[in-house]
This record gives sequence, C-alpha cells and structure tokens, in this order.
Amino acid sequence: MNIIFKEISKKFAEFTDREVAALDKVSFGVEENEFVSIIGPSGCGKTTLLKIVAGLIKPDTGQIQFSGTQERPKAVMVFQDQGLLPWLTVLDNMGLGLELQRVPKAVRREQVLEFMKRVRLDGFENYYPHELSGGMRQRVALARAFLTNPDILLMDEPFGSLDAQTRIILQEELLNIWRTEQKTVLFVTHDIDEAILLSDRVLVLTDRPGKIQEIIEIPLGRPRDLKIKDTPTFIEIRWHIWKLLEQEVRKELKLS
Amino acid sequence: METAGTRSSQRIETFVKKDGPPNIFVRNREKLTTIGIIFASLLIWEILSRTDLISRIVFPAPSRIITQFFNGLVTGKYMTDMTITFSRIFSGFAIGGGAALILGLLMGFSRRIRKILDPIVAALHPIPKFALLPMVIIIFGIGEASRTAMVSIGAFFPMLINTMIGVMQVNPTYYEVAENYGASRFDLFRKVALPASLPFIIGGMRLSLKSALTITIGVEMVFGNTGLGSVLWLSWETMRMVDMYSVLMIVSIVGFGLTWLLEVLKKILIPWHQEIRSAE
Repeated sequence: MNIIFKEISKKFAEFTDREVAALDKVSFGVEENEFVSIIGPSGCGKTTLLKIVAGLIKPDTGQIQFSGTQERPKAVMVFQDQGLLPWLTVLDNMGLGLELQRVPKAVRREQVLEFMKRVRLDGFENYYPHELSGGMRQRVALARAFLTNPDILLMDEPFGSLDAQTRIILQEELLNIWRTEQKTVLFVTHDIDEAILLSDRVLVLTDRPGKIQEIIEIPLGRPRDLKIKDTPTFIEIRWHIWKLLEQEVRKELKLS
Repeated sequence: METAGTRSSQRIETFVKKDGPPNIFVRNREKLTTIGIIFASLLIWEILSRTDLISRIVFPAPSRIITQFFNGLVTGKYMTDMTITFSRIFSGFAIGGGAALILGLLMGFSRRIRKILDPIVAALHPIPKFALLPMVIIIFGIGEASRTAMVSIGAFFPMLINTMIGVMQVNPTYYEVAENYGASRFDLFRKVALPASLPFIIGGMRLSLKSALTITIGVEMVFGNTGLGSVLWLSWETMRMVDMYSVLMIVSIVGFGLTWLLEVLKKILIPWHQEIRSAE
C-alpha cells in the first residue's frame, strides 16, 4: 500500500475562541512496504497524522491518496499504552479486530490461538491486561495489529512507556515480525535511535504546527541488529537528526 | 536486630532478621484490640444495666437483646416483615435503579441527551427525597404504590449519577481502538461504554440499594402495618426496647447482606477490575 499525503492541514479548537494548528500543509509519500518513522517535538501533530490515516480524525484541508484501491484501506493503530481493553482477556483482546469485522467466534478463536503460538504468547489467553507487564501488553497489542492483516500499520510510540531494555527486545521482535509480514508502517517515536534502527526513512517534523523539516534516508542494510548503532553511518545520522530536533525543542522551551 | 559500632573512622551496620513468623496474637494485634473494645463496651453496658445504674428500660442488657434476637430468628417471628422489607427494597431498586441505569447510560454516551437532561437532574437531585412523601401520598394514595414510588425515587439518583459518570470517564483511547477496527456506534456502546463503566455502575448499585433501604425503613415507620420499619416504630410506641434493639440488629444485617451481595456481583461481573472505588 502506497500512500501520498498532499498538503494536509489540521487545526484543533483548544478553547472556544482559540485554534491551535497541529499540521500545516504536510506533503510526502510512503512506498509499499516501507517503514517510515515520524519524529518531532511533543505536540507537533505526529499522532494527528496517524489518526488521519486511521480515519479517526478528518483533516481540515488536503488529500490522501491510497494506491491500488477504491475502498479505504485497513489501517490499524497500535497505541502507546491502554490500547488493550482491560475487561477483555488476552484472547478476546487479540480477537477484537476480527470480532468487530464479524468473524464468527469459533473461526476467530482458532486464528487467534494459532497466531498466539506463532508469537509465543500461548498460555496467556485467559490473562487480563493488568496481570501482564507493560512489555507483555505491548507484545499483545502488536500481535493483535498483525493478526487483522492490515494494509497499513500505524504505531504511536508503541514502546514509549517501556523501560530501555524491554524496548530493545521489542524493537527486535517488531523487526522480526515485519520481515515475514511485510507491511507499510508509519511509526511515531521520540527516540532517535529507535527511528533510525527500524526505518527506511525518517520524517523530521518541526515544532507546532507540524511541518516537514527534512526526510532522511537510512542507507543501512537489513536485517539489522543492535550492533548497527555503532557504525559511523548510524552515528552520523543520529547526530544530524539531533541537530534538527535540538533547535525545535529549544524553541519550544523558549531556550533560544 | 541492628547494632552499630564505630571503630576509628568506620561505621558498620549489622542486620539480623529474627527467624520465624510472630505468633498469632502479635500478628492480629489490631483486630484483637477491636474485638476487645466491643466486648468491653458490651460488658460495661451489661453491668450498668443489670445494676440499674442506667435505665434498664432504655438500655436493656445486651444479653437480653441477643437472646431475643436469636429467639426471633428461631421462631421466625420477624420473617414476614423481613421478607416484606426485602421485597420493597428490591422492587424499588428494580424500578428506580433500572430506569436510572438506562437513562444514565444514554446521558453518559450521548452529549446531546446529557446537555438536555443534565439541568433537570441537577435541579431535582438535591431535594431530600423523604420530603417528597406527602406529595407522593397525594398522587399514589396510602397503599403499597406510594411505598414503591418513594423507594424507587430514592434508588434512582445515586444510580443515575454513578452510571452517567461511569460512561463519561471511559478512556477515549478505548473508543479509538474499537473504532479503528471498524466498530459501529452501537458496537462502541455495547462493547466499550457498557463494560468500561461497569465498576461505576456497580458502585451506583451499592449506593442505590443503601438509599432504597433507608427510604424503605423510613416509609414503613410512617405507614406502619408491615415491614421491619413498622416493627421498630411499634416497639418504641409500646416501649418494648428489647424488641426494638433486636430488630435494629436485623436491619443492620439486611444492610450487610446487600453489601455482601454486591461484593459477589463484583467478583462475577468485573474480575478484571482493580480497586478503583467510586466516590461515596
């Protein structure tokens, strides 16, 4: 699935008389099965962009083109946390997407159990989300998203609330699943290393209202692992992105 | 055990944890003290009453009250009235609480319905419900209908407000998750709003039953004839204080019973819920 954004703008009414611009004429394209990260200061409209693709928010002006389909593509979102419904067991949470698409219960159950085995979540089907660690919860959320076989995967800081070690493991897991289940991915993050490690391209947004500051190609081969972080290319890109972000963050903090 | 010694310029702190659990009395020190206080008070009351240092008519000895209470249980003396009181609580709760549940869900879920009805609820809610009794009697007469109406009104508001708040406090992310997977508005209501607000709804049921109990007893005192409230009132009028206290015990047990019922309901309906209690 190939996506083209054309001059997408969105404002939010903060109070009745004041509007805050979240996105300002954002245009870019995403290739089929490409992994694109979006990075930028807090409140720059990264999440808004994902929700627009998901169909949860409508932009004020602009256009999105999805190639090769007349219908709205299936774009599934993975949230930072609280993406699992606390009253559903792991089994029901993972089957939620299928349930809402009216897949019969027996079929659903079979598909979910099979997929759980694949991502080594079997044995946890009757657990409630609060009985799992944060990392486990995100594994379930990730598995649920892949299970519905979406055209586009939208990830809103899915590892943002995890500790640094768990985050590394889950980044690797995501790369592993993604390698076998190729999808077009839009991945929002605050973490520069995470963006470079995972992506084909990194989109750097400005402070509010979000505009595209730069789109950076990541010329690193795949499959990748942690060692890649020590290569000169990686270090150079990391520094480059930080320099872009630093100005924006300073602006936001009124430090410049 | 902790010992600290200083020798020249170093400090050593040594820790040794005592083996074995402390004995049963040490472990339950607070609980035992509570029980002790209760027994001591009853004992003092018993002595004061038997020695006539306090009026044995106003404060009959606890031993007599308890004997009477068990007597009542064994002979089934209070059984009819207890059944009547229970059925009044539950029919009022079913009518008032049921209506409130439906209305509360709608008000919580639909901003439009809430905006229309909220001012009306806000105006009616602060009225002390018992003050409505004369009006209710004028409308429904002095029969069972008035009692049911009063209990229903009492059960209505706590249920309504808890349910509405329960739906309003649902984390918006949960709706987005379901919507993202293609949920219709009805799906959002049935699969998100309803289960997510269950802890508040059960909290509302608890307050609603409590209010139903209070109003039931009150109404029975005023109307007389039947129910635990009327037995309480009659025993006062005829100065049968032992009876009064033992009925009071039964009324408290009814209250405990309702609370227990909701604890059971909580375990069945919301096993996923961790302790976040609704405000009382």
